[in-house]
Amino acid sequence: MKKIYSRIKQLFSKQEAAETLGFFRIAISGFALIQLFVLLPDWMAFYGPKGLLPWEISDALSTTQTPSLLFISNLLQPLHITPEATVYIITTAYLISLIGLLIGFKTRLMGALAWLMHIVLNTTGHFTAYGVETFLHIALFYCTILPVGCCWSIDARNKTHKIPGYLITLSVRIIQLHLCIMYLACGIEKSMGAQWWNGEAIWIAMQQDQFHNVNIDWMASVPIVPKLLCWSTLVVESFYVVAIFWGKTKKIWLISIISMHAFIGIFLGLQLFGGLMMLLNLAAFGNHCFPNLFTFNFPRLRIATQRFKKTEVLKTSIGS
Amino acid sequence: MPLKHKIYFTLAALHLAMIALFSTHFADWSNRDNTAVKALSIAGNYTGSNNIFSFFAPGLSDQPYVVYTVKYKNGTEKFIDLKGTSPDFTNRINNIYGYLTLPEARSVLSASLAQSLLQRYPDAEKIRVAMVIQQIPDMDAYRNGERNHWEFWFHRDFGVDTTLLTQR
Repeated sequence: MKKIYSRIKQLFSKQEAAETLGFFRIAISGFALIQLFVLLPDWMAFYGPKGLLPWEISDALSTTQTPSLLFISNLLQPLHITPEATVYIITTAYLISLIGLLIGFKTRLMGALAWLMHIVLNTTGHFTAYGVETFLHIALFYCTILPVGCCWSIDARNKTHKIPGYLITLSVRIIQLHLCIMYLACGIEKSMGAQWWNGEAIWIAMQQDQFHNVNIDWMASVPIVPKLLCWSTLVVESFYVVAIFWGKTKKIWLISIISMHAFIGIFLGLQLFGGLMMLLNLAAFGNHCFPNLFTFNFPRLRIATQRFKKTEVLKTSIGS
Repeated sequence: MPLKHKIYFTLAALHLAMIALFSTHFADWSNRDNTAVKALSIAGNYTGSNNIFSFFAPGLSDQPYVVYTVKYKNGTEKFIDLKGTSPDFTNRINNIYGYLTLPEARSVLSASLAQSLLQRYPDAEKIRVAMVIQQIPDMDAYRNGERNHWEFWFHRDFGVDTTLLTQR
């Protein structure tokens, strides 16, 4: 018991690089901006008052108590702002806040604004939202409460006081443990279904018209292939919580989980979801598995610097 | 450890405990009318700690799809496969179609989709919203010659004011 306690204590006391949070902020805001531009041609169909589902319907069927576009529109009605104009205002506010978050200008305020605008948009568009919105919402919430502007940001250049190390470590651990809980739940839930044991899950997913990007008819003749793919998914997800922290397996596990999400993006056509999950994993565990990944401390540069210091040219004045 | 640190660590622990709790489908097995459960759910809606993670779990079901037919005033009919401009449109519209498999949501969602289509085709006087399901044979059946096919599930016909005309 003492050993477990000391391991947990060690986990939370080991200093994490501030660059991890900087990378997290840039990755999330950059991704959200790309997603915004990808969806823009159909924006009004997803979020407009006369879109695929009218606001009144999506609000009536909503199970969350979060503000929607209809709610904001009703608030703005006395100012003679139309429902369509409300969508433009919210979208513009979302765009500006994401740019602010990306460059790290007034980071916490921009993070909070992006998070709130994302909530408003997806309360209305909840029928069209899938996993990518779930994780973007979580990530934007972390951009609001965690000190993600501590590195690679305009705020970090201007600020005189530094973010304490324990807070950076705690922030990184929260993101890491959230991912661990998620993968454990995913692994357990999948392992309860027979399809994940007999390989049918991969077969059905890739045969479904919506995901049918590659012809996999040959798999029916070689059922061991989908079976192995299903089993490896179960192993990678279920044991993620242990393997990603264990020194001997952490690198292979990070590569495996990123490969799994790349597979989802390429072969199931869920590029946005796959891309976001890859970024989240890289941000949370990239530096943990591959030290100095975000510090750009390239070996050749380091050696050159050391040699330069050895000559002590800097300490010796010419002619002395 | 200073008090400030203790507060941060406690809040982080509570947040993570909530994520773990809701990942066990807490919303399904808890008493939803309980005030504490309601408060937790609302907090979870904002913080993202009330999610379940059932991606493709425990298994995949047959894929639903919706096809539309509009009838113009001159009697001609046009078959429509609703497509968007953005690459992610299909993933998102399929999400709506998934909800159409729920009988309680069917009438309101199909009427909404009909209205959305009628806005795109203002000359139409009637629209049919028909749901089909893709039946995928398992690998054994596929080896024995069975193939993927679409089966009709239900349809609803609507007038221009989205009044329900017929259904099957």
